[in-house]
Amino acid sequence: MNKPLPACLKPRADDPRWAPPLDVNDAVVRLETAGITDAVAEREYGQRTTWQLAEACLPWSRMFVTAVEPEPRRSAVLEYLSGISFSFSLLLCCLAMALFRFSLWGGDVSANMAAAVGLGTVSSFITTGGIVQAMARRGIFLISVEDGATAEAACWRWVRLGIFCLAASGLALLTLARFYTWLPAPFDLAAVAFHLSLGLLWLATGILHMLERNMWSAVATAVGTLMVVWLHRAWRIELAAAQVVGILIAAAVAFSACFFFLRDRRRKHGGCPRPQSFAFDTYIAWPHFLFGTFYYLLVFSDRLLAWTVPDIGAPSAVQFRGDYETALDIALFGFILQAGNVRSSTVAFFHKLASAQKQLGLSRRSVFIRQMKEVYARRSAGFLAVAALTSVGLYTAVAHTTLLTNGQSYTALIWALFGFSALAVALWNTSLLFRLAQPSDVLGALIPAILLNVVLGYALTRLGAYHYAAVGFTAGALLYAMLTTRSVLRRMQSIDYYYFASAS
Amino acid sequence: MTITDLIDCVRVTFAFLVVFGAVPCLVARISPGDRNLMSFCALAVRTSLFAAIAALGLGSMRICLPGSMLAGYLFLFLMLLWMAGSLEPLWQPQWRAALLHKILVFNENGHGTPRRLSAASGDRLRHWRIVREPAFLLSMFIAVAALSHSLQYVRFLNDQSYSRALSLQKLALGQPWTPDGSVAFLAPVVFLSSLDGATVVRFSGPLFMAVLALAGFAAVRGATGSSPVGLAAAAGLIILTAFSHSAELQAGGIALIFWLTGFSLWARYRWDALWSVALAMLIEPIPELNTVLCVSVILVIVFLARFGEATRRLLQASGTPLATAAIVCLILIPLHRGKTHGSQYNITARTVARITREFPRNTWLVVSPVQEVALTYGHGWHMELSEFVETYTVDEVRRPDFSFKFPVGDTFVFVEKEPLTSRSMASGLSELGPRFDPPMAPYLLRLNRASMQFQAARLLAAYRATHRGTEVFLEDQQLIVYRIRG
Repeated sequence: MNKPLPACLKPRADDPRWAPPLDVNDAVVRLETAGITDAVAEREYGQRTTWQLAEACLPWSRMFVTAVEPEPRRSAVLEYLSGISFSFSLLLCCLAMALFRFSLWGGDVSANMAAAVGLGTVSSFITTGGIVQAMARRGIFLISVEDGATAEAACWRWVRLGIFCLAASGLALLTLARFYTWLPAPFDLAAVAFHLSLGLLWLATGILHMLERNMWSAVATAVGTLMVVWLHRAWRIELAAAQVVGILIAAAVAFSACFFFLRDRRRKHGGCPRPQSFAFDTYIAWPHFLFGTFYYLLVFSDRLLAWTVPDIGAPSAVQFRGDYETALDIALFGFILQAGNVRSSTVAFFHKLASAQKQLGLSRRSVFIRQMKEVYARRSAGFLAVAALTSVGLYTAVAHTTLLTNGQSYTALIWALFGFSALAVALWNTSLLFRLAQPSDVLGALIPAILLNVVLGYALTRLGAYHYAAVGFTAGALLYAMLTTRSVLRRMQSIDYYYFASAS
Repeated sequence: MTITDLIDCVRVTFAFLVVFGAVPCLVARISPGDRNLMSFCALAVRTSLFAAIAALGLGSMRICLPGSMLAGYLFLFLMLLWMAGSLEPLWQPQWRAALLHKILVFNENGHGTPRRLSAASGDRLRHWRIVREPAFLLSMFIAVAALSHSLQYVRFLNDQSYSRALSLQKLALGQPWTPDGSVAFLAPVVFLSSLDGATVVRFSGPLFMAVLALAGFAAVRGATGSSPVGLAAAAGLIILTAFSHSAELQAGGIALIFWLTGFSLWARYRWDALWSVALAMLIEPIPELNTVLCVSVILVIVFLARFGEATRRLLQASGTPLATAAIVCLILIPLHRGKTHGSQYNITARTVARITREFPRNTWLVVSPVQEVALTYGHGWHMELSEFVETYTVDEVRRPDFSFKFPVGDTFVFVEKEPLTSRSMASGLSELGPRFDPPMAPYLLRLNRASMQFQAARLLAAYRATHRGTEVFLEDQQLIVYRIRG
C-alpha cells in the first residue's frame, strides 16, 4: 500500500467515538460514504474497486486503536434538567400567579376576557408551532455544519414568515370572531392582541430553545412579568393591557438575546450567508412544520371543544372553563416532568446505538437489533414508571388541596393525567423517529390522533358535558402513542439501516 | 330599512346561494354525470334532502350545531370523492411528492398558469339557457320585490312565521326541538350566515319565492314546451301565494317548490323526482289547501296548454300581464295587509332587534307578548307580559324599597300605547278556530290584550314614580318601551 490511507479509515481528532472498521463490509461502507467510488479508488488509490481498496486498507486501519478517551457525556440529571428547561418560563408564571394573583398572561379577569386570552393563547401556539419547528430544524442543521451566518439569516427569515402568518391568522381570527360573534367586542380585539404578542414571544423563545439558551427565555419572562406588575400596580393600567405590553417587552428582550447569540455564532463560524431558497427550505422542513402545527392542534383541540359547548345562558359563544383549565394545567405540570425524560432518553438511546454499532459487525446484526430493542423497552418502561409516579403523586397532592372543587374536574384530571402520560411516550417515540429521519411516520400517527380527539371530544361534549373533552384528548394521545410505538418497533427491525440512512 | 338590514339580507342571500347553489355545483364537479340544468336541479334536490335529513337527525339529538353540520357535509364530500376515486392518489407517495413539487414550483415562480375558458366550459354554459328566459327575469324581480318588503319590515304577517323562526332558532342552538321539516334544511343557512332563525326566515322567504317561480316555470315549460305558458304559470303561482300567505312563503310554499321540481324531474330523473317528493313531504307532511290548489292550477294549465290551441294562445298572451300582476301583488298585498293583519307592530320587532344587537348577550330581559320570543331567543331573556302583570301589583311596585330582582343588567318592558288590533285577532277563543295555540291565545283576544297592556302601563307608571333608574327607551305613537336598569 504505497498511497496514503483514506481519511475516513483513520482516527479523527474531533470524533472521540472513532473505532477501526469491524470488517471489510464496514470499511467499504465508510469508503463509499466518503465518496470513494470504484472510479475514485482506481484513479487515486490504484485499486480496481472500492471493495479491493477496503480489503487492502483494512489491516492498516486496524493498527489504529480505539479512542480510549471517553466521550464527554453529561450526567442524566443534567440532561433531564436540560430537557425541562423550556418550562422555566412557565414556572416563573406560576410563581407570579402565587405572588400577585396574575402573571404574564392570565389572572383574575372577567369571563369574556378570560375567553379572549385563552383563544389568543391557543391560536398563537397553533400558528407559530409549525414555524418554530421548521426554523429549529433548519437552524440546528446549519449550526451543526458550522454555518452560523446562514443559520442566522435563515432564522430571521422564518421569523419574518412567522410574523406574516401571525398577522394573517390574527386578521382571520378577528373576522371570524366578529362574524360569528364568538366574543363580544372589544374582547375579540383583546384576543387578537394576545395572539400577536404571545406569537412573537413564542417565535423568540423558539430561537432561544434551538440555541439551548432557555435561561434567557426565563429572563425575558421575568422582565415581562415585572413590567406587568409595575404597569398594573403602579400605573393602574388595566390588567389585560398591561399584560399585552409586558408580553411585547418580554418578546423584545428575547429577540434581543437571539440577535446577540446568533451574531456570536456567525462571528465564531465566520463566512457569509449562503443564498437561500424558500422552496428548498419548505421542501426540507415541511414535515417539521406540519408536526409543529398538528402537535398543538392535538394538545389544544380539547380546550377549544370545551370552550365552545353551547350554553344558551352564557355571555358569549366562547366561554373559558376555569375548572377544566385548572385540571388540565395540573396534568400539564405532570407532563412537563415526564417530557424532561425525552431528551435524556433520546441522547442515551443514540449513544448506545453508536457504540453498539462499532462493536457489533454485520454477522452480529441480530444481537445489535436485540440490544437496541432492549434499550428502547427499558427506556419506555421508565417513561411508564415516571408517568405512574407523577400522576399518582399529583392526584394525591391535588386531593389534599381545594384547587379542584367538583367531581367533573377530578374526572377531567384523571383523564388528562392518562392523556399527558401517553403524550410523553408519544413524544419519546417522535423524537426517535425524527432522529431516524422518519417524519412521515410521525405525521401518519398525528393526523388520526387529532381526528379521533376532535370527533370523540365533539360527540362527548355535545351529547354530555364539556369535561368529557378530556376523554377525546386522552383517546387521541393514546392513539398517537400507539401508532408511533408501532412505527418505532417496525423501524427497529432495521435500525442499523435507518440510522445509517438518517446520518448520510 | 337600515344598513344592518341590508347587511343581514346580503348574508342570508350569500348563505342561501352557497347551500342551495354552490354545494350542488361542487357535488356536480365531483360526481360524474350530465352537466345540464335538470341534472343540477336533481343534485340540488339531493343536497337539500341531505341537509334536511341531517338536520332532523341531529336536531332530534340536540346536536344540530355548526360543527355537526360541517362534519356532515365533509362526510358527504369525502364519500363522493371516494366513490369518484379521487381519494386514491392521496395514498400514493408519488402523487403527494408531485403535489409538493407543484407547490414549490408555484412558490418559486410566484404565479400559476392562467386558466382559459375551454370549449367544454362554453358548451356547458349553453345548457343553462334559463338565464335568457323571461321567467328568470321574473324570478329576479320577484326576489327584489319580496326582499324590499323584508328589508322594510322586521315583523311577520303570519303566525306560522314566528313559530318557524323560533323552531329554527331552537334547532340551531341545540335546544329541545320538535322536528319541523320546514325549517330543518335551513339550519346550514343559519350557520353560514351566523344570523338568528328569525332573520333567516325573514330573508329566505323572498328567495324561496323566486325559486318557486322558477320551479313553476320549469315544470310547465317541460310539460308543454312553451316558455310563455311557463311564464304565465309561474306568475299565476306567485299571485296565488301572495294572496294566500300575504306574500310570506310558508311551509306549504316551500314544499310546493319540491312538488314542482319532482314533476319536472320525473321524465329523466325518476329517483330524484321521488327524492324531491319525499323532501316536499318532509317539509309539509299533510299538504294544505293552498298547496293542493297550486298543484291543481299547474296541472290545469298544463292540460289546457297541451290540449287546447286557443287556451294555449291565451296563456301565451297572458304571460307578461300576469308577470306584471304578480310583482304588483307582491308589493301591494303585504303593504295592505301590514295595516290590517299581523300580531306585532313593526316598531316592536325593530326595537327588539336593536336591543339584541346593541346590548351584550344575556344581560337583558324583554317583557312583552309572546311574539317577541322568536326574536329574543338565544340573545337574551324574555318574560311574557301576561306573567308580568299577573306577578306584580300596583301597590307592590309603588313601594320605594321594591325591586323586580331580575338577574340581568337591563329590563325592557314593552307597552302598547295603542293596543294592537288586526284581522288576525279575535274577540273570543271560539273565533280562533284552528289558529288556537295556548301560548299565543291570550294575545290574540282583543280585549284581553288591551287589558294586559293597560295593566302593564299602570305598573310601570307606579314603579317609575318611586324609582329613579327607569327611563323611556323608545316612544312613538303606538309603543312605549321602558328601560329599568338593574
